Amino acid sequence: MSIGVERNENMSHIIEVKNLVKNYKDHKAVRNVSFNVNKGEVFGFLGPNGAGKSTTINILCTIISLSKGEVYLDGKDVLTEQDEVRKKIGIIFQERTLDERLTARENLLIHARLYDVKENEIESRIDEVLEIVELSDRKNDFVSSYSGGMKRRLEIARGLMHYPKVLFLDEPTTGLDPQTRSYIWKYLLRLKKEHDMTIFLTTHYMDEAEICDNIAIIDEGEIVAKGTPIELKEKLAYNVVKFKSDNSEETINFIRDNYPYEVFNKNDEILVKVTDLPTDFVTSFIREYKENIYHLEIKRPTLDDVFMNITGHNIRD
Amino acid sequence: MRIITTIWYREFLNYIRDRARIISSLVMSFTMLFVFTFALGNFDTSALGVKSIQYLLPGIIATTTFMTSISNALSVVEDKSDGFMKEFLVSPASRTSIAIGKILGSATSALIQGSIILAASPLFGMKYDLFMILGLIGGMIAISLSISSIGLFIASFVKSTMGFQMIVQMLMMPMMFLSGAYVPVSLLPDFLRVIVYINPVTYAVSAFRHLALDTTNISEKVLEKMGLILRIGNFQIKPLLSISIILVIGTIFLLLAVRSFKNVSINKVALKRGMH
Repeated sequence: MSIGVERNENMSHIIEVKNLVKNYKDHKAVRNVSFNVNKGEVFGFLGPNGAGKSTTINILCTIISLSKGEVYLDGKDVLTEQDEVRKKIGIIFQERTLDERLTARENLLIHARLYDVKENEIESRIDEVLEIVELSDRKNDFVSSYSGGMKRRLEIARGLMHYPKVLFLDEPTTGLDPQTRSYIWKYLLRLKKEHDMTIFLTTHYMDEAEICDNIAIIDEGEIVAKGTPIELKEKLAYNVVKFKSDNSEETINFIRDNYPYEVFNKNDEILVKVTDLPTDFVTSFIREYKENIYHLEIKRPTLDDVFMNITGHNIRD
Repeated sequence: MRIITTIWYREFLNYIRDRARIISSLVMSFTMLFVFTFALGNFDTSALGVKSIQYLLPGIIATTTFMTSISNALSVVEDKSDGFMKEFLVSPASRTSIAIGKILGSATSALIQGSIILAASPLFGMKYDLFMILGLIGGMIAISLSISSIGLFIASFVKSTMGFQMIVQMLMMPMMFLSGAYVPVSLLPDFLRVIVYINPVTYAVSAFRHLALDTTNISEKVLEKMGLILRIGNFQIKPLLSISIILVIGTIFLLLAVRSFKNVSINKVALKRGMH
């Protein structure tokens, strides 16, 4: 996915964050954060509530100012070239920001004018963005008649009206039902693919983070890990082999004597933390161990495990 | 300019669709009209040689325009509390344009509201000519722009709709009743007259009455007694000066409102957080 990135590194970074610091009166919200976002990728910013996610995304979107460091968006400084940056980005906030007394079309029209879209292009763009989020048939309906998921889709459509280079989404699927969440992801991935749009999102849903090309994990104002989801899981988490046996104690002793892995007994289930290839361990173990074992499964690591391993606490805490 | 018209357009759409707001404000004005013309009939207008309606109605038009203008800024507070304000504030549009668009939107609906009363007034026996209509419309424009600026100024620092409504209620009642529109200024005790003279609505009421009457054959003494010319000490305030005073007050608040609106922090706007 990121082939060619190495060759032309500076050009492909649509967002560059260098040593970003944000201090509030009584606490440090962001402490020396650096990362880059490649053009055309889905970049996930992960972390528990209060970790500095929203602060960082707000700085990137020119909503709040930074205390120290440099942030560039498509080569423009977010501090000194605020209006330039604002024209290049679309923002979908965590909270609702539609005028529900207006129709979908009117909301989009007002947005287009605020972003100085040419008057003769507005109507065709309205049709285009509504098509993307499958709301064309509701164009002239009042937003107050929309369901929660439809409102969110309309907000995404609105964020696209001025053809932004980067779409920022702060917790885009929080509070939505699973079906709507998967719809939203469908649209986002289509945008990425068909329009080569960069998508920057914050989330605390780990399954969403899995879809991202690259992720950065932030905790207590610092980036504690970054990379592709696969890299992070390989580097920072383990496969767990899980099974039952007739005599748990004896089985655990057997593994401890023959393999270098940590073993636990949890509710009569044996858990083996396999730090290399789990299939090698499983085939060898089945060959060598003569007693009965049941319900064997290999649990692949999730980003939750990655987060847990790095920070020592769960992302939902 | 495009931003200003866009903001104005939205305010206008929201105004014409909010029938409850239009109707309740009109009902309030017509109630005042009935109460003061038919029930109380306190005003002796014989010195002016006109029926009391000719004298009362301009005051009601002035206070209606005032009431609508000052409560319109509620939309700014609503935008803040329901999140829409963020859409404005993160756009490349300038804050000054947004503030001016808001004021024009508010002034437009106040102007419409006042014009409805004006248009309905012949039914109550009001007589007017073209010059009067133009004068009153000019006056309505002045007061609606000025008072809308005051409203925006208040709204820019108030956080909740409830808070805004309380402040507006607190201002509205004294400003309406201490303006000479319903209670003659001459009946008020001295200490209340101070408030009368710093109240921009007073000048609007006085100017509107002057505009709605043929004053050519009436002595200044009578005009002063009836509040068509205001006198502070030895200083006479005639309609043109009254309108100028309103515009000066309006300009001051316009500048204050724009400044205060520029400082509205986007983060403070986020009152409704998502679910976690």
